[in-house]
Amino acid sequence: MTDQKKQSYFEIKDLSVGFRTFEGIKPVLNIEGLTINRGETYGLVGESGAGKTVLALTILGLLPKPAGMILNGSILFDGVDLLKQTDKQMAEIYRGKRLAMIFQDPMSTLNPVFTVGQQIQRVITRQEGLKGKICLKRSLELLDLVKLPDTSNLIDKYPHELSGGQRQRIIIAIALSCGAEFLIADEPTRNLDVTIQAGILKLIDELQRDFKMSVLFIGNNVSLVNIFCKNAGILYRGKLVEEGLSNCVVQNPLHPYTQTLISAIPRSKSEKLKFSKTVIKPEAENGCPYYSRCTIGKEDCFAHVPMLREFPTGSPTESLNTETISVQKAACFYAGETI
Amino acid sequence: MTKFILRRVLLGIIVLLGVAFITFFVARVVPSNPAAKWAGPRANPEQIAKATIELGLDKPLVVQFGKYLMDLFRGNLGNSLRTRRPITQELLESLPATVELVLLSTIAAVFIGIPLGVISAKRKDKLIDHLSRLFSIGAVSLPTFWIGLILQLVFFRILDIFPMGGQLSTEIKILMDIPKVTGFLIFDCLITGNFTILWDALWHIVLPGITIALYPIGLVARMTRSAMLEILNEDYITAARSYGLKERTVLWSYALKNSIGPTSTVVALSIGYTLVNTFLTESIFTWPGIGSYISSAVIGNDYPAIMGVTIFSAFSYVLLNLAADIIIALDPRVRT
Repeated sequence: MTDQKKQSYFEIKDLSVGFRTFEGIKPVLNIEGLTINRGETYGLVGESGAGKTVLALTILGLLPKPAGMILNGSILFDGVDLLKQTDKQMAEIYRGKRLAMIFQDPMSTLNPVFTVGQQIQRVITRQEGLKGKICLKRSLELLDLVKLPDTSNLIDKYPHELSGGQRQRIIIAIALSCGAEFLIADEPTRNLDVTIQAGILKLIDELQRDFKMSVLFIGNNVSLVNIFCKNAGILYRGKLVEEGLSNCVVQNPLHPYTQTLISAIPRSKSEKLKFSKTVIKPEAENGCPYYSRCTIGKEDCFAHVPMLREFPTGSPTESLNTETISVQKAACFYAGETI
Repeated sequence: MTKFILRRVLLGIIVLLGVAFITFFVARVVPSNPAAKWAGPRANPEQIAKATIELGLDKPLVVQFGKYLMDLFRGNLGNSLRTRRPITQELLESLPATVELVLLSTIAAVFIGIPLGVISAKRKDKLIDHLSRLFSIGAVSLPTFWIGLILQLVFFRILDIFPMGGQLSTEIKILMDIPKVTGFLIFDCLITGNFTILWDALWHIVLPGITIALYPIGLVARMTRSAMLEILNEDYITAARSYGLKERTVLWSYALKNSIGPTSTVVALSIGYTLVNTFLTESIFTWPGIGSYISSAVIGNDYPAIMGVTIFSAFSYVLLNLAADIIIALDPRVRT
């Protein structure tokens, strides 16, 4: 969009987040680097428990306290380190205004004891200072924007009177009510039917283009990310294990974990799913986090942690835009070997 | 909503019928002759027999019960065996003093207990949370009569700040015209502008007020805290924060409205408990309310009066539960 400055629009550097437990501080997230440019979508994929939601909450400064702790690192957003902002600054300047988030479970994200209208209007009043009829009009516009029918009737309904798809659209409306420029979509289609999923994804895609938002899309379906995002990152146990253009990652996965993830997607009814043989190996406490489940893993994987390494564009497709320097990274000593 | 309330009212009536049934038969089983009591200590057998007919005690139990229910329905609780006056009237005379205490403690429970619980939940495991929990546990577990006695010892005997008991000082009772409009002393003083008596009345209500209020404050604070802790972990609270809403809004509106169900039930039930608690406290502080009335009724074997107070307490419980149910129905999910 704008000139490529040295400074990225959104950049995570050496971020390390831990949770305080009875047995001391347990690290849950360890990201060396993650960059999102203005107007781009970045898909973050990983199994449950990988730390995706923790990352989202860390960006917004909403980690559960006092358990969640930021141990190290910085999150630069438009030149400002979000981790150094006070809670008040985050609430006043960033949350809801510039950063917005769509939560994963539409069933539990709306407050059950307030009507849809009350919930939207409270946010509009807080962020834009609108009140009364103007506020109502604005909220109706927002519901229109997310393509909900019969908005004047809908606005007086309570969340439990609505379907999952309707609720998720309302949540999107609230999140975007103040024109946020950076959207975190945390598994926005979880707990929804497949057809409704498609609708919600289409909506987010359209809004992203209309408002030229940058989106951090979190999901656990690699192929979905491929359709939807320019770049993709694979998160495993709080670490990025592979990163690159999403179609490169999907079509030419380098890390054994990514390969397993992709082979887990059912392609057609006739094809039988191939489950990789479960290897039971001890945890490599000082080595690769994937060691215990990896079919390739050798001694050096057990002893050393592989860092993200850059690989020459291993893209199998020629149709890639040659101007963009495509770099695929993977954190594996044997990246590229097929499992 | 109407259907919902109607159903609850019907349920309440059934409960009241049950209470009437039990109190009636318990009073008949207790070995004491109401007719002898009614006829007086030096009555001869003929007079007692006459009193038996007069009181309808010669009729079959079922008939007696039916008559009792009919009377109840008309708000007639019978006559006291001691004073021979209608119990309903006597209750109404001593009710305001008790209601004053109960109301005070309920207001304290709502305006001190709920904020205490909310702050405690917000600052979980911080100093203020520990203090508030310590206070709640103490307030709930220390027996009322003990608290009353200790307060009397400290604030009357040692410090001599507050009076020991009664609703007004003796001098004021003798020398001044006590305003009587509604029967609620503090309220009457306020509307007649009689500030000397008002001041004295307030001075007197402090110790019994604290004694009675401690339990509901502690209970409500604890309930609110645990309800809030659960709610503050909900997704919609994190979501509300992610919209940039002020922490104040999130806490006191988004979260608190969700905890209204459990909290209001506890408030309503604690009013019922307080009412019974008041009976004890009143006799410690010689407070001229229903508590004093029932203790003299018990000592004097005045069964109709005891039954009357029991029915009255049960009625208040049912009413308060109904109120709690209706408040809970403010939660749109409960309404059917």
